[in-house]
Amino acid sequence: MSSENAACMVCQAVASGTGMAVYEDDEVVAYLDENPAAYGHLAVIPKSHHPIIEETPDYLVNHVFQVVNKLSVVVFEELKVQGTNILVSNGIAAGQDLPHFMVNIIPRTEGDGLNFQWQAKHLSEEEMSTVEIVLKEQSASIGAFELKKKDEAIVLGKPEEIISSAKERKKEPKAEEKKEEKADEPQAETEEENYLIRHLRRIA
Amino acid sequence: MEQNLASLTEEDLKNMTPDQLRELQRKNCIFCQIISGKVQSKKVFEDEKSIAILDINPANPGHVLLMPKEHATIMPQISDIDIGYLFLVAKSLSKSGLKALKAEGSNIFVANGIAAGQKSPHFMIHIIPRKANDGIAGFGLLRRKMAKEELQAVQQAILKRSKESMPGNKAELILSLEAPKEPEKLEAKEQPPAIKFDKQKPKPSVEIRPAEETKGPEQSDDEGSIDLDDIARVLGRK
Repeated sequence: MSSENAACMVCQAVASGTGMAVYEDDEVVAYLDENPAAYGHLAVIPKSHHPIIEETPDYLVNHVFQVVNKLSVVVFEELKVQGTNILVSNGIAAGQDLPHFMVNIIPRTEGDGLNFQWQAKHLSEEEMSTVEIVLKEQSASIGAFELKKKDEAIVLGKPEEIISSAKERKKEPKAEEKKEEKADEPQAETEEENYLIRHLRRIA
Repeated sequence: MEQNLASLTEEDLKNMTPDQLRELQRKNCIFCQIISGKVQSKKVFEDEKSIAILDINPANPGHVLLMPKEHATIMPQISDIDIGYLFLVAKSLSKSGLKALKAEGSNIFVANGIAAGQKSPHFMIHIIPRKANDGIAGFGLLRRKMAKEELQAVQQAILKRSKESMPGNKAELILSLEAPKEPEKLEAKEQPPAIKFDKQKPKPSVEIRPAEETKGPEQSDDEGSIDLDDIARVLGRK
């Protein structure tokens, strides 16, 4: 797959560097959507051209979503929103409007007018079982992901940096969390608790 | 277990440590019970870290819920490594839907938080196979017009924060190339205004995209990946 596609608007935007970037590394760039679905709507995009997620190499999918995870935390903290939606649309039938795989991060607040809901379709027990069987069969071989970039003995593009930062990150947030809770920031604490309590209520 | 939770007062909950709260959540999580096998489900995939089941109220046939086995409520509670892994499984499950169910596309969707439409106490990734005119309208993105200044303020705020928490971030702030601003305005922007989204101003407008129009007539000869190639090629043509 060529790394850049001359006919692709997204590739052109990446090459021109005029987008409203909020994150960039060697493989991935994240832009603020200039016609956003919500305030702070971001699109995380691999720099190389891949139309849909299924055609995007594993190492890159892995990296893109690690960036998505970090940015969604940034959005939560910086914009003080109450939620986020992560949305990928693969194919025109799914509402994809640009020929380049991207992940939308959509910050959410109550009453923001957005509604990613669907009506449940009724399937008979038999139909459900058929779907279960064919999907299970097709999914039996899932695994053994190719986390190295092809033709390069490199993991995730920039090995040490990303792996070590990922490791740190795995610990960091917890450390920060605890610090926050212990420190004199009662507001953050209540917010976190309220959030958990709200969830518990829903379960009850 | 339900009783256990119901007997707790708000005060009790407030006095619990985050670890205790999480343990309580896990105990009361229906999806943790599905994962442990206590509650029945239609599993389509399972490995050490994750499990994928059919949604019993599917948006479309083959609507799959992919979950980490370890209880987490929202994405920020999950490590980057695990998130990367889960979405690799999601990619593969999406491909399964395209191949096994002859889907023409898929939506991969996560709701973090009740405000985002989350209904389950367990983090999950929805993988929804799509076909043209399948009656699902929910994933079309409403688009708003926002003033350039407002966009730049939010870009600056997110960029500043992401530079702090993402050391490899090479992005730089480029202030409007086509229309250079007055120096005073630039100064004013250095201190972004408190972020408040004015819901009145932007007028959402639904983009209606004719699905068939853009479809190319070509068929791939490659038996194994006909669906995939077609989906990608149609997009490439646009």
